[in-house]
Amino acid sequence: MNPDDDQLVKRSRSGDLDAFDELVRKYQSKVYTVAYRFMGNHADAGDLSQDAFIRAYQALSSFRGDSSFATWLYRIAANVCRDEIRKQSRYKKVSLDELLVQPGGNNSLAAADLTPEESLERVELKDVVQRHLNALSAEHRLILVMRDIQGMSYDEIATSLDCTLGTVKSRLNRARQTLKKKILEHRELIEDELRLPGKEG
Amino acid sequence: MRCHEINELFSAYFDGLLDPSVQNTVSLHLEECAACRTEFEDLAMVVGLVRNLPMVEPPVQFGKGLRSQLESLKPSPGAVKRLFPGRWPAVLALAASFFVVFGIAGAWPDLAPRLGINKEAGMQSQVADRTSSGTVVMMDKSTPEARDSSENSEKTLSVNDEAAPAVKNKEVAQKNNNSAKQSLGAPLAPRQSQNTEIAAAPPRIVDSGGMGVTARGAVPGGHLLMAAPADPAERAFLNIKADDIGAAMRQISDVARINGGSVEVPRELGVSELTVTIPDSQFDNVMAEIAKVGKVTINNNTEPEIKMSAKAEPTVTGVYGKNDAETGITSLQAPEEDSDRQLEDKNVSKDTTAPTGEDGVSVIRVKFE
Repeated sequence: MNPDDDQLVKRSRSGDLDAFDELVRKYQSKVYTVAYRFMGNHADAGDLSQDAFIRAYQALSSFRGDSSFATWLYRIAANVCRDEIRKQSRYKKVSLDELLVQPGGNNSLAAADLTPEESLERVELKDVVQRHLNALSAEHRLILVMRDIQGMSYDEIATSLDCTLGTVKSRLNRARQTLKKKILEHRELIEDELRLPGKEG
Repeated sequence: MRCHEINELFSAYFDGLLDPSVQNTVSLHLEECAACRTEFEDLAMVVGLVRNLPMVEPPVQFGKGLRSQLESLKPSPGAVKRLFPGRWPAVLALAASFFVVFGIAGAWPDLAPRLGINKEAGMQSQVADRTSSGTVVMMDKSTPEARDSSENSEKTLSVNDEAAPAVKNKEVAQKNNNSAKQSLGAPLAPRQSQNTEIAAAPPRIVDSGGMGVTARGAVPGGHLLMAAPADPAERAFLNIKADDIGAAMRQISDVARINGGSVEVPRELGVSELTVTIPDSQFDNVMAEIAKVGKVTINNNTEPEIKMSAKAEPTVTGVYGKNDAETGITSLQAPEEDSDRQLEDKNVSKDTTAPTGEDGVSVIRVKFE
């Protein structure tokens, strides 16, 4: 465990909110990014990342230090996001794929959750990627965010998701393949944004 | 190895996590197969897009908002647990026993002396001298009306009043005027800041004096010991005729709160009574204000001379509960001294009387007609 984190966790356990504040400052961007990439909007990202920190604080006594505090925290964040996705899925019967903005057009459903700032940015490639991330299943989204945004190892992901290493490999491959298929529907946009040479076929 | 099998390995290949031999096999295949090479390049590009997504910074107020939420929480379960490591069952059992003993004794007054429990136990301090000092101020002398003494069996507000000299924290004394607000028996009493006030309040043991028994004093704001009814320092029994009883009750409630007191309303439906508890120093003011509410008569069936400055005699070496508003758990907090003995001894000996405080409380019972 990170020595600094170790001390901060110990102090936080005894109710030292200043110590926990330091942990928050240290990891808030990563946690918020995880939440945002997972959920695709700032409102949920703010709520869920705060919820993740609160749950972490309340559960500090159960943190044994077997993993790093960061891994433990990310796991909590992932669980919080996954719980929310599942909850939302009970109320949104429409497939998330149907909420995606269509190539070359607007989609009111997809835009509904965006802030004005987000709406202005929606033609940007990063936003397209984000929306396609949101179109993935919860499991695929989670594993992609963990691996390709947070850079967690397969082992850490397996630990966080309570699954085997083999499952991580196969699930991550499927997630990336699915995302690739969706994003390549925007090849023109990608090429414009990345100024890549056009590809034939 | 066929193309679709190679495709299955793209992700792990990209991450360099295949066995070296398999990694080499895939590399060779990609050199030979343009279709798979394109597929892999596309996959790598998409992964690169995801990985290059920028970090998303939380709002500036994120930490502050989170901090305020955390502060509104009670101490983490672990922190609370460490107060009594491994002893929660015993603590809860002890708390439950307090509830049972005081609750039953309170509901059954005759039982209290047998159990060695002072009826005044609860939140209030004992009023030691009910006949000394002063006579009642007659606010309105019109048609005094006798009341059956049985009516005086009504429940009254228990109060927490005096700071004992043994308590070093001056804040405690300063909180005396607000002490009644801590009473859960006062439905209008604000509950915010309850914990801090409770933490500063003196633990106490009440000496019943004439009864020859002493009970562990209870706790301002503590749920468990709230079950004990009080025999208050009643100073005035008033009957008020008001056209709008509801409005009159609200006015009196406001008066009590403004003067640092509180009001208890009986839970029974249809009972138009109030028990007003206010600091002694505000007694005259409150009586004057109550007189404005309606036609006030003094209930003569009470003590002919009602003292004006009842003094409570709390002591400080007791145990008091600290109610956790968030969890509903009432924990017991040991006083600075002699905590073990106090925790283990439910029937507190009477060698714990303490000097008199400086400002007592007055209880005014009001019946509406």
